[in-house]
Amino acid sequence: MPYVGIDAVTYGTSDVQKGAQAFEDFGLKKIKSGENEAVLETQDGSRVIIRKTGDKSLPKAIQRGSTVREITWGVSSKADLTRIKRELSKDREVTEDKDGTIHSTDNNGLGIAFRKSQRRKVKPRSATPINSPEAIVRYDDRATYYDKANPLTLGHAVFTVPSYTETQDFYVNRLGFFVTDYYKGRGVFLRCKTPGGHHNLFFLEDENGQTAINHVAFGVANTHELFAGGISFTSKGWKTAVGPGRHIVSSCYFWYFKNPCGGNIEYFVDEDFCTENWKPKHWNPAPDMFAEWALGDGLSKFAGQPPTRTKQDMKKKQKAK
Amino acid sequence: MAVTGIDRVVYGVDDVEKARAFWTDFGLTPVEDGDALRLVTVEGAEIEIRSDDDPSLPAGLAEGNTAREFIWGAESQSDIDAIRAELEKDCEVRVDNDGTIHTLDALGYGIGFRVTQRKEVPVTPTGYNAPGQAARVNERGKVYERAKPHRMSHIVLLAPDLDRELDFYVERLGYKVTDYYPGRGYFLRCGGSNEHHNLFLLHGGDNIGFHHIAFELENIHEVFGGGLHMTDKGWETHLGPGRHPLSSCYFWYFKNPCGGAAEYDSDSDYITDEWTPAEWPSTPESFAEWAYAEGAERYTGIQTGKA
Repeated sequence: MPYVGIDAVTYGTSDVQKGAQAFEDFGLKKIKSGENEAVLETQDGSRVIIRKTGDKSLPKAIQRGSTVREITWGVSSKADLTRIKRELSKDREVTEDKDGTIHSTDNNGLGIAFRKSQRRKVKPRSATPINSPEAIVRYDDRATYYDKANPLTLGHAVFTVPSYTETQDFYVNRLGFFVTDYYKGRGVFLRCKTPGGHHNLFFLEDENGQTAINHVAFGVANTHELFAGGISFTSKGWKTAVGPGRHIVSSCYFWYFKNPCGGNIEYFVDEDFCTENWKPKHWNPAPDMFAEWALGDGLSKFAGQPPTRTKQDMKKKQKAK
Repeated sequence: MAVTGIDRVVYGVDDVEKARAFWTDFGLTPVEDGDALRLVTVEGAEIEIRSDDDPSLPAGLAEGNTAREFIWGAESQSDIDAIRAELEKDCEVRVDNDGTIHTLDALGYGIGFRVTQRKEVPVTPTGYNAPGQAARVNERGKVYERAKPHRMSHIVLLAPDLDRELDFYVERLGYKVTDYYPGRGYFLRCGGSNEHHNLFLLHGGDNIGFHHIAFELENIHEVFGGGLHMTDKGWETHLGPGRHPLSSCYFWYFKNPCGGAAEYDSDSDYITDEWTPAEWPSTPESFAEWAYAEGAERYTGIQTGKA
């Protein structure tokens, strides 16, 4: 199996410092932060790299303004790199770095790169204990509460493209990705490995034929971390795009935020896991398939009156002020 | 005296049909039994609905529609006999033909005890996936069209004389303190229960009366699915969805035409005698990590389909 997952997403943006601050508040660990380049990583070492829009080292942009310039796929071995290089060299330019990373473009002109994966094994290795009646796994132990998120991994990226079928053809037939699900006549969910999470890429056809970043998504450990992470991130002034909520396709809980580096960024958890026996489904692209439910403007910490405080208490408090 | 949980809650209401509609939409299954309407959980705990002028009902301590009696379940007849002997020391105890005993608690709430009629019904554990862990393989996450409450988990009573009520349940009936807000609220579990609380005694100034009842669901997905269904049916959110630090439950409360609120909850702490009760401050953070005041709605926002 050649692919491990997304090793890095590289952004070109007008304000590197602001981008780095957003991803640090989002819960990524800052590895490097300068005026011209910032690097942050998730717990498993998948990275966000932020550079200046005009940086000559960046691949050509798919759209104007701040956006994703390159997706770097981690592969298992040097042999995988050789095979991918041979395949892509048939009809497009492929360059190779000193460290062996190869760079090219996909059918939409998006920068793609491949390297021997530098991701580490993901934590936690044991499932979050969640109780059900008569199905107890957490004894004499309160559930976990998070102050902020610390994403485990970089899970997927989503783009709008002129043709999802042509894009599917490129990733499936040329690079060996797998189709997980379809939005009938509208989009395709692809995963880079089997068995693997529901999708690492989702391509949605744009009626005006534009290629653009839609969002990049980060996996967290459980719904507790997803809700708390979103509360913490928005309390720092970053804006919700949509969420929290729950997707029907992929089954994920989600929360999307506006990203100063371009597109949105998402926390997700409880993604479907697919082996070779998974049956792709053609979903009707209706709103109720996008989400079972979703809040439009996020959540915040509870600051109301707890039932253990009486009206008399509140009056006393007001007087004290 | 091993009381194991709540077996039945009896409401007195002015509109039985509205009560039936509420509890049916909430996910309970109606059962007609003579002159009373009963609605049951998966385990067989019952809501009983009677007309508010029914002379068989104990007095309600809150104005209007409210819960009038709480019947607790115990393991065996010998437990019921022991409870009866204890209560008869200073309370008037009435015994039904079916052996259920009835009295009033220290503050005058109607209570009763019977050999439990709830049956343990196994639940298939929910498989949750996370990066690096696959508990649910080739299977989409469950989406609930509506809730089907598994058990009646707890009731909340306002207790102006908190010490007296606490003494009654803990010293005389063997309930155990799980957590507490000093002088303000005590989370009690029945002596034979492992749930975080079956009875929460809440000090709300001089106020007395039934506050709310809660039902435990399989998982967070069912809390949302159930809440959305209730909202679709036009029932109003009291508070939620949200998450409690005490008991660790996700919750969603609805205003109940029978009086007080009705709550869905899930992921409750499981308590054994190894548990150490903790003291909590009466702050907003103790009550909820987060809570949505107006309920969540089905998503109809972004149009993903071509027009």
